[in-house]
Amino acid sequence: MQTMIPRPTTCAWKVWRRNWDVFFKTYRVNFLPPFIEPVLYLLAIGYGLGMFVGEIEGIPYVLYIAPALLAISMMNSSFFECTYSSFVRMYYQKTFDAMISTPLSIEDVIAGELLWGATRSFIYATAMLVVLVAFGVVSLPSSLLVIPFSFLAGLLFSGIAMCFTAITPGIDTLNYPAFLFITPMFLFSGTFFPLSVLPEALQVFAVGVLPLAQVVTVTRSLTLATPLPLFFYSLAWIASCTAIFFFLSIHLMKKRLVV
Amino acid sequence: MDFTERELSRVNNPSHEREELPVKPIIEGRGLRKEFGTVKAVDDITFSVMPGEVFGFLGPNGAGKTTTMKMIECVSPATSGMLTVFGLDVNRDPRGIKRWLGVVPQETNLDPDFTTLENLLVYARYFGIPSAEARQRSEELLSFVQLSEKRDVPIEKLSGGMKRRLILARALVNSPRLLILDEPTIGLDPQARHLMWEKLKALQAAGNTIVLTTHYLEEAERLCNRLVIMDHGKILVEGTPGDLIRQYAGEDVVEADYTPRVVRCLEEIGARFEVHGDMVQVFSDRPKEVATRLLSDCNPGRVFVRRGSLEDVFLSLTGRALRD
Repeated sequence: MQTMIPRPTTCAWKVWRRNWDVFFKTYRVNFLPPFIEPVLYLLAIGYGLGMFVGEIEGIPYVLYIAPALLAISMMNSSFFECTYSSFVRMYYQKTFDAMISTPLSIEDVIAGELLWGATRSFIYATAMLVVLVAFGVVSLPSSLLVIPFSFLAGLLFSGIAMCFTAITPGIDTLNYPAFLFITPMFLFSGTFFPLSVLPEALQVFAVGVLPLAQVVTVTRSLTLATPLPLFFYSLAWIASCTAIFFFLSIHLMKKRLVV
Repeated sequence: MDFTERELSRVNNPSHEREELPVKPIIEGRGLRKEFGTVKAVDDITFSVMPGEVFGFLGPNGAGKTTTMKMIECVSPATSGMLTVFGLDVNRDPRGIKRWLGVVPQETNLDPDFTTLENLLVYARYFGIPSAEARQRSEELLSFVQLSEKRDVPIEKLSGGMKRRLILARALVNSPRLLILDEPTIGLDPQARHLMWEKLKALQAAGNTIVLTTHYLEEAERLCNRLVIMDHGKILVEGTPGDLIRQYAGEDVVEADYTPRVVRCLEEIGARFEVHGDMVQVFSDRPKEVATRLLSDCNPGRVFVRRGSLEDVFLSLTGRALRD
């Protein structure tokens, strides 16, 4: 009866637009993190800790972590939007129920949420990039490509997040992916130190399956204006997994909500 | 009031498309079933709702009313059976149906991130209504439900009755051909409930087709042209409130204190009665005679004669056991 591949329509933008409107109602609060966070991290870790680290693979430490800050911001902004925030809208606010009483389908609703998660990554990465440019820790013009890339990376994390949201029994159990998946990934994806210092098995694991490792590789290539060895591999990995998780998450959400 | 006048003109205007349609049911369900695992929430029901009618689904909790509403709203697929709304199949053309539906859900699901007016505007956008038109219609609807002065207030600042009225306004934003209300006055105080009824009456007078579920029987008696009483997923009876009362409760009901002597008297007369707590309820087509007899011969503490109500029908059909 139901086709396996979900087919959202352009109506998804109406859902996206709802979230956009809410975001800009409270923009002052929302714009705080992307401007404050990089300043703190650059000062404390980039310059502070960087004094002792010096260089990594011939790159000054502050330049080494600048792209990682961008990648982490893309991950956090989209992942947390499509887990906790989407769950609140779905479960507590019943916003999805209200939406599907209109011509919108559940596919439209979830697609709109995913695109919004990607947009949040885009907004945060762009704002953060402004700060990083001001500090002179990213190369121009190649770093400008981070802006469109942040949308793609955001869509990847949104899709992964929405899969968790589709299967979580309650809001508390979303802490599992947050602490067992996102937090370790934040530390072990070549963010603050290179993967090459890890045991070989872990290196293979990170390069093979950790989404943030791919996003860091691409972002670092762009901000340093030198493609790293795995640049194209990572880009292809991100593109294909984004497509998979986009449809998978809509499918799982449909299973959860259409009863 | 602009809005009501417009609704009226829509009905009275013979050139309007609605008038040109042959009289076909707005909703038609045949052999409709919905199962959740082994639970039969809706078990083979057949019904039809005609244009301009206020049609009620009554029943205790868990009777299958809300499940039926969700199938009509195209958000929950039926396990089997046929269901059409506006002549369209709910499985094939949900978007086409939902375009013309107005839904008041049981649970308040207004968008807490927006104000009163914004709730209507955002909702209108889901229907693809152009923003100038949406704004005008929203203002009209706010005045219709008497919320104009609350237009810029956040949702959390509204009272329960205001929220329900706002949901009603929201359900009207797309000028629906069919309004579905699931427990429209649940949890409201009498004032708020009467205001809601007044609004629904106005919509009914304007020729709207309305389907509602309720377990407030007074509400059903006041509003519904026709209704069904459901229990355990099945439709027990269907009819106008008046017919059902005459058929299942009698025009008048006699109530008296429950004493052995009263019971003996009633048995002598051969009257049908039920014991509820410390009262007996007598169903009779000769209520005055019964009451006179009780008063003169049986020394009852209290005797009342009152009009039969839908509540009598409801309780006699669905029993008095508690449901959750």
